[in-house]
Amino acid sequence: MEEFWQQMVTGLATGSVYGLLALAIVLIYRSTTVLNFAQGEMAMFTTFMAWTMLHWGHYWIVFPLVLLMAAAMGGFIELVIIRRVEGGPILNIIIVTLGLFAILNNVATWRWGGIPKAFPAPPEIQVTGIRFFGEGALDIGPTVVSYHDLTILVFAVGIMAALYLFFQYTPLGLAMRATAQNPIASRLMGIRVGRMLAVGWALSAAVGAVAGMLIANLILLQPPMMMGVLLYAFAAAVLGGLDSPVGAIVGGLIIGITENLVGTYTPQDVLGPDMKLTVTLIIIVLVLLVRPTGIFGKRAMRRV
Amino acid sequence: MRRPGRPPTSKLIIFAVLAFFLLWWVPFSHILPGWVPLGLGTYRTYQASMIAMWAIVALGLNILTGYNGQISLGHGAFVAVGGYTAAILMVDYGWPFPLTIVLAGVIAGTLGFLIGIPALRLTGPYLAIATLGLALATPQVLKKYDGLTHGTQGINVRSEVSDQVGVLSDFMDDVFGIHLNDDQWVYFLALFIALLMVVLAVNIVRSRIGRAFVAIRDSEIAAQAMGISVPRYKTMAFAISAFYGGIAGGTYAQVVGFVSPESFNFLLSINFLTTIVVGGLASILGSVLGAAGLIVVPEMPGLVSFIPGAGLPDELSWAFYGAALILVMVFAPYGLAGLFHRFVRWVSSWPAAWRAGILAGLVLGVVARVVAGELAGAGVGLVLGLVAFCAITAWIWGPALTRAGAGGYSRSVEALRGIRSSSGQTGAGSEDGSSENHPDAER
Amino acid sequence: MLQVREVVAAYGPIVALHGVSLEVPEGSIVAVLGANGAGKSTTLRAVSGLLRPRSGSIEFDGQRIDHMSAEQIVSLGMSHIPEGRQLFSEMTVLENLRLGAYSRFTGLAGSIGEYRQRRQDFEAAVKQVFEYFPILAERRNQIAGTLSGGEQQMLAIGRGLMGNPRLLLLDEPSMGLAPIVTREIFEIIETINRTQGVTILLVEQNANLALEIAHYGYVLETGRVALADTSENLRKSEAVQRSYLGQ
Repeated sequence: MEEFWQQMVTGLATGSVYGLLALAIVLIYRSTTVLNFAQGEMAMFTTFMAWTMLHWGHYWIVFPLVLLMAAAMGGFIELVIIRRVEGGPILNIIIVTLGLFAILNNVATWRWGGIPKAFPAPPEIQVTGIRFFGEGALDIGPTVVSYHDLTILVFAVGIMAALYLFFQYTPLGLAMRATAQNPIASRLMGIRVGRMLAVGWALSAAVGAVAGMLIANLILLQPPMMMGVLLYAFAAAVLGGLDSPVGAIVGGLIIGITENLVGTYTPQDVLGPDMKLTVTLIIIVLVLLVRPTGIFGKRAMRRV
Repeated sequence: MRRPGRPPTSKLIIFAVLAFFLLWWVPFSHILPGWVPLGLGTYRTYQASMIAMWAIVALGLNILTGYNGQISLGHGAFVAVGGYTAAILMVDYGWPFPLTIVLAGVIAGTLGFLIGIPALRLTGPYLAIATLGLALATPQVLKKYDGLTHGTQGINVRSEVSDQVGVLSDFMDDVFGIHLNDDQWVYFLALFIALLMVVLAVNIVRSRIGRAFVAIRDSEIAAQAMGISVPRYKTMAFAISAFYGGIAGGTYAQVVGFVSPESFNFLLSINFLTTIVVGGLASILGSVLGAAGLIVVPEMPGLVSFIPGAGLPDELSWAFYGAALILVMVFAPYGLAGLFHRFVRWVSSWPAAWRAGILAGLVLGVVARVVAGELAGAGVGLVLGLVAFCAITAWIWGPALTRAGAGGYSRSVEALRGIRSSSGQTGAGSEDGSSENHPDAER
Repeated sequence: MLQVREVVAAYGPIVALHGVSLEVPEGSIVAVLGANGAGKSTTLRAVSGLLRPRSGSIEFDGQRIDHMSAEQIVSLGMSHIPEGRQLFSEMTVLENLRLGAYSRFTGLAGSIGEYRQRRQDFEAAVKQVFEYFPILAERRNQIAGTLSGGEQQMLAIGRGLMGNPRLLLLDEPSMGLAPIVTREIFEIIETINRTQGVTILLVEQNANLALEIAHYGYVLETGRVALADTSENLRKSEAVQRSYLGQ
């Protein structure tokens, strides 16, 4: 039984990171219905930038700086590259993100390739007496949870909550939602649609950067690092509903847990850990058959 | 004066040139003396076989995604099924290879139909990711059930192929005195199958089935209102496109001679999608051009070092590939087929004397370079050959094209784009968007 | 207030307006009539900046706006209520109204005082809209997509009013609505013009209703102005009676 809870906890931790990257994907999808296949590479790239900066500065100084740089990169990409194909067919835009993927991956390999690097875990900080991150663990019920894993989970939920509040209760968030729903009407309200899209990409890149930095600590930092994670993140986004940020996090957690449980608790010769990915995907497809737009996704209403 | 029922002279010439190119030049030109331009070695013949194979997959995927609007990121799975079916039948059960290819297609097609049924519930990006899951699962499944699939080591088909091919080869030698090596044999096989599949595709697309596909893509609800059974045709599209994938897979087993789980990873499936979008959605020509691009372009990164003065390292060649993809999407939203049509329309507006002159100039230019011994690799030769081919096509065929409906249709598509862009509509709110991405629905 | 001179506008290769000229005096209601495809909506789009004219000029209060973007034009005091309403159908009534006021209240407030003033102005604007359309007050937290056709049109107009515009562009407000509701809405439109002095440029297929409340009218035919006169004269004109008033 203890193993079961341990698997659950590990699953929640990895699931949180999938969920964060899925959240980044959902942010862009909501505003532009584009599946950004370069999301993982953008996160990887910014994590490498963070790694370089960590040679000079303390983690908690570098962290917000990297978020800003990621946001700038995201906005830049939208403005300079995506803008040119925005009005066209969706598949074209997806191919453009694939091109971005190739560029980012290649440049990162050229600049930082070779030996995989270690990326530090977030060091402990104390805020009003509460410990975040750092060494050590907490006894919760039948199992032991490390502060590290716990804080990742808290981070993921916290970011999701912050974004929810942003979109529901701030004018900019409202304007971004409006742009996603009806760009023409938004222009007539005086909303600069292009600017909203750039902000969407910027936010998404920042969220991705967080995911990247957290993942880099779990597995080694190297250019192909995010490729597997990206696929899980897409699966999580789809599972939760592509237009639901809550769905992205929940989807990620579900996938994290499922992956671990399937690896351990299915018959080894028929399934077992070799088929982790396959079984997880089958479960996702089954869920989609019951809810074709994801768990929290809105049913698409088509006007005839 | 042309007799009624006989195709125009221009089309006959095109046909003749194509036939000569495909049936003789590609497999045999290496026997020509070195100074003949555009001679292709046996490696190029092998490449052409690959192009033929991937063109088959691209055709199938285009039928599903371009004409029917269902995005599939998992076609590698059908190719894998086809490849493994053919390989297992040949190696473990000793079947003759034509039968294995047919069965590869049938089994893959059935699988496609079965997948098409749950796919009815999913749309757009949800379908895309679900099919991506299919592509991801394929290598894992292939490795796991190694009782059937021989596991990670794969299946080596070479010797079986050589044996069977040897029988045919001896026959050709004795009866016709033609001696073909393995590369040329597989080339003709792949070419033959590809041509069959192209003819089949053209017929499907121009038939009622093809029109139903397009109607469903453009508006499922309207199609339904017109009495088209949407589930029937959507699953049919899946089945047909999977069939194509299976045939290509079966051919792959013959051409490459080896199948393994890693040959069919998810990158392959993503490459297929790139192929049809870059080549041209809902376009038969586009599928072929895209496949050619997929095989030829990865060789091109070596050309990065030819960009004068840039001094860019070779390691960045994939970054250039990515940049090229982006540029193509920005400047050629209808893909290579769209570019081809634009080029043809443009050239056919030149006076005939000009066209003749430029063609002559091109030929002379190539000859001059070869004589000077400077032809920088057959890659450049291939490109020049393609350009010359386009020029000939445009020159001979141009007037016929501009008279026909092709131009008119494109104009109405452009008008629609004009309305959309004038009213500031972005991609949000449209479906998968491939309705705009076809130069004309019948090619 | 609004001067449109010889505007030529096209969608790609299709020319929709072949040199349209019209004038909207301040404080008046001007109707633009015509059959389907005559270019009425296109005219409004050219004015509000959604469609850039190929040639000709558009002046708003003496300022040339034909090369400005729609977002910029909104901040000059013009509000376009488009064909088909174009509501944010997944948002509530209040959220739609809030978005209508977006151009008035963008940018960070300079001070707490300014912030409070903005809130007051916003509340006042909402109150004004609810006075015109009491049913919207009842449904203020309801999702816009679930409102009835008439209520949606009211919300669209209300949303347009939130920006305190001086010129209101209305594109076929009667479309898809029952006659009683349409009449009600037209009465309210007339009230808005009378009490607040908002200038109105009204595109309508329902020529009868439009001419009842309008001061002047233009009749468009295939992208050209065929008739231009006071609404009284238009109502009496035989040509208009035959083609558009069904007499």
